[in-house]
Amino acid sequence: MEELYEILEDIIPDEDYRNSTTLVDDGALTSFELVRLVTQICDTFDVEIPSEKIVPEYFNSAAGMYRLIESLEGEE
Amino acid sequence: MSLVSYEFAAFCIALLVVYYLVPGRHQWLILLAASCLFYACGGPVYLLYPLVTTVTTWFLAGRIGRITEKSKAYIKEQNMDREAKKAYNRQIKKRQRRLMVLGLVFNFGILAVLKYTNFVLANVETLFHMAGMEGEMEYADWLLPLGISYYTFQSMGYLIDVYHRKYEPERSPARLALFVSYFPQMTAGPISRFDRLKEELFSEHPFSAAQLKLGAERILWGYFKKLVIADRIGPAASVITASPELYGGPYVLFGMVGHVVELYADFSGGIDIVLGVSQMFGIRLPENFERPFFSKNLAEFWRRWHMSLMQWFREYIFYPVSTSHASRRLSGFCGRVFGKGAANRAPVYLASVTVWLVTGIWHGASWEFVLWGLANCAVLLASQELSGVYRACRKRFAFMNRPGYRYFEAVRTFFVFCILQMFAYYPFPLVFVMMGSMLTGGLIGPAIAADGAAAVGSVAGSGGFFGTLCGPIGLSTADLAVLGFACALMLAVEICGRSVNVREKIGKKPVLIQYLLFFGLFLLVLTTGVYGYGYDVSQFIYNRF
Repeated sequence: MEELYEILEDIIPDEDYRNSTTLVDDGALTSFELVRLVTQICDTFDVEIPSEKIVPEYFNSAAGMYRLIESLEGEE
Repeated sequence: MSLVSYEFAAFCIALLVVYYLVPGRHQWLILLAASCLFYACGGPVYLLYPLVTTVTTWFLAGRIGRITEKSKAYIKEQNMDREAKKAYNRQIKKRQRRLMVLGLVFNFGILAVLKYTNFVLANVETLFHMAGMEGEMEYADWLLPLGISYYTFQSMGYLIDVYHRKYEPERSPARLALFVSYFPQMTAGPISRFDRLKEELFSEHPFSAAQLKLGAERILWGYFKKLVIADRIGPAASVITASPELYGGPYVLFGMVGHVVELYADFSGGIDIVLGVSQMFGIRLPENFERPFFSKNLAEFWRRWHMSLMQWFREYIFYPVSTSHASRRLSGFCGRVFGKGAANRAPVYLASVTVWLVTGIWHGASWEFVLWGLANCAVLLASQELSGVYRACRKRFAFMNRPGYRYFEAVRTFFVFCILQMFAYYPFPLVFVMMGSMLTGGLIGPAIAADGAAAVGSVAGSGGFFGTLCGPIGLSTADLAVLGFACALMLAVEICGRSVNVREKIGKKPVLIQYLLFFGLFLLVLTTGVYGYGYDVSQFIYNRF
């Protein structure tokens, strides 16, 4: 989880990414940040995020993102 | 076979009878035979195209699937650790990627050759002329097979999904052939995904009078949009947009709005017919429109207009390009040279420009459409860049959160789309001239002023102020009245559709009222539709793809 926080701190330093559950809905993560975030998650965790998983359900919160990473690691 | 023809109606009725008479497990075979027959109506040779796509897609997806199966068994057998598994999977993916790329290049190659050869030749010819070389190019006169874009995109989406292991490949070539060539969606889409459509196509569908009625209602609504609105306003708008030197001032506004109304009524009407026909067979296809003219901005508009195509572009172009190695390298380079902001933006800019170049060229093989795509891209990226400003404004100004502002946003989006459409039918520099003319021009263009009297007389019943104004573009006062009523009805149904499903709501009314409404709409199409002997129903705009 700490690795994910580091990525989020790098991309959206001014947002409350640890507690927020509406990062996409509130526009904190626009497509600019979202694409960068996906790229960094793929590099750091060595997973491939399929495009149909790039949805608010997973990216609205750090917990959702971590859940997605864990599920993708489990699929390997 | 046009969707608006007696042949198509007879074809559907005969097919429905056979479809519901055969045992449920054979229904899909009837649909496959009907799809082949439908396609062969344009000439048996045209069957070859979807056949080649089906065979190559089936073969390559099957190979990819078999490699996946074998690799999974091998990993299990060898009891590999995580690192060894990853290295092995990378190797396997590389082999599978080669097969997928082969399928993509081959099938998109067919599409590109058929659709863009003349565009390339015309550009080469222009370059030769610019270099002072004489001579004319010999152009290809191939006919574009019906729905080639739709079935190519659909089957290539399937191939990519199998590569990404989203689902298993289909073992039966005949079943895949039905997925590729299902006749209702060959005309104007929508582009479906295999995992969703296969449940519909290959399940048994017992006869349902309710589905038949709902399907028929939707078809009728589609005919209403096509025959009463699109085919009436379309020719008038085309007269204006085809002769910019003649039609300035308010005509430009009428042409601009008329063109968009025609586009929506024609395309969404066609989709209504497609979805209605399919519903009669008990098969639900994905929706392609979600009241796009109620969008608050252009990005939302494009999520609600031609949804299946835009979803395809998002899934198979935008995200893969934006997260590709090339994109990452570009992002790294921009980060080093211009800073973090540029690094953030580079992948999105690259992916957006790619998507909109493809969207533009998909809509038409001309530079106008390329510019139209790039103009849309520019507005979307500018809107994205300004999203922070919008958010700040919303916090600062309370009126921006009121319901009335929502309507302003919808109207603004409609006109932004209208203006962007001008790039598709006016040559590039002329777009700005015509915008200027619209804002500053006189009541009617100078040539019309001179020839107006003669032209007005050419349309029966074109008296009165509006008739005088619209006579030259082929619309009588009665036409204007019909258009006004029909557009208001379409708008009212769209507004109702925001909160309730209109057809289901009508279905709950007493039977007499239901049939009166149905018959009323039928009469409306019959009496005000643009059709009849000597009149050739214009082809659906989105049949050309």
